[in-house]
Amino acid sequence: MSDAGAQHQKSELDKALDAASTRHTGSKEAALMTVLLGAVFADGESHEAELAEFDMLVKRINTFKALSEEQRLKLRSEALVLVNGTDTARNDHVRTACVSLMQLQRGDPKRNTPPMDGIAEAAFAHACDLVFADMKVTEEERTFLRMLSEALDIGELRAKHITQMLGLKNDY
Amino acid sequence: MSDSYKASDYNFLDAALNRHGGSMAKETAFLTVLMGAMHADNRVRKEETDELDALIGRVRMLHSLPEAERTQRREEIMPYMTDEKLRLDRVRLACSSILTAQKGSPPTQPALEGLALSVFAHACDIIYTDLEVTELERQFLRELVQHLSLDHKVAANIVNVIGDKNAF
Repeated sequence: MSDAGAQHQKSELDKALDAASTRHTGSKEAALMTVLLGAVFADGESHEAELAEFDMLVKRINTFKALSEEQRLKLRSEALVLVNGTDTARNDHVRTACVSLMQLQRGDPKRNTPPMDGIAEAAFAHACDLVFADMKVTEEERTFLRMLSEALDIGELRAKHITQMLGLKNDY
Repeated sequence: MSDSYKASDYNFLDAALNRHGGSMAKETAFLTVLMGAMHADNRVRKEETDELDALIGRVRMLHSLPEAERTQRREEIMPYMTDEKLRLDRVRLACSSILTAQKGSPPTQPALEGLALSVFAHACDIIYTDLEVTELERQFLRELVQHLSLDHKVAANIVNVIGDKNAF
C-alpha cells in the first residue's frame, strides 16, 4: 500500500474512532438526566405522579433551564428507556452516564471543550437530594448512592459531607 | 369570678394570642420562610407558583398536609410577600416560631431537633437555583442565619454544598 493510501486509511480510522468516542460521550444534559432518573428509579419503581413531580423539579435545575419543555420531555423519555429496566441494566446506564460526566469534568482540549469543574459533585448532590426527599430511604437507594459516588470518583469523606448536609435539609 | 387562675386558663390565652400574630404553626412558619426566599429578590416569575407547589409538595414538613390545605396556607401567606418590609417582618416571626417548635414543649410537643437548619437549607436551595444570586438574596440568607440562631460554620457548609449542587 502506498504512503498516501495508508494515510487515507489512517484518517478514515481516526474519523471512525472520533465518531465512536463522541457517541460514548453523552451531552451533560443527557448524562445528568440519566443519573437523576436513575436515582428516582433506584428503589425499583416510579409512578406517573412521581414523574410529573420530577418534571417540575427538573425545570429548576440549571443544566436543564435552557431547554424547552419539549426538549426536556424528549430527554426524559430517552433516559427513561435506559433506567426503567432491571437493576443491572439501570446501573450500567447510570455508570456510562457517569463516565460522560467525568469526561465533561476533565474537558477535552482537542475538541475545545473546557473542563466543567464540579459537575460530578453537582450530579451526586442532586441525586442525593432527590432520594432524601422521599419519606423513607431504602437500602436499594443507599446502594445506588454508594455506586454513584464511586462512579463519579467522589471521595468517601466528601460524599459523606454532601449526604450529611442534604440529609439535614431533608429532615423536615 | 375567682382571682386564682388555672393552667388551662393560660393555655386558652396562649391559643388566642397565637391566633393573633404571636406565633405561627410550624408548617405555616416553614412555608413563610420558603416563600420569603422565593421573593427575596423582589421579583416574582409567573411560573414560580407552580414550581413552589412542586417544591412544597416534597418538603416533609408540609407533605402531611392535604393539597387543599397547602394551597390555602400558601394563599394566606402570599399577601404578606408583596411588600418587602411586611415580608421580612413575617419571616422574622416565622423564624421565631420555628425556634419555638424546635425547642418543643415536652411532653405534649416533642423537640424538633434540626428544624431551623433544615428550613435554612431549603431556603438556600430555592435561592441558589437561580444562576445569579443577588445581594438582596444574600442579605436574606444572612438575616435567616441570625434569626434562626444558626452556627455560622454549619450554615456556611450548607451554603457551600447547596451552591455546588446548583452550579449545574
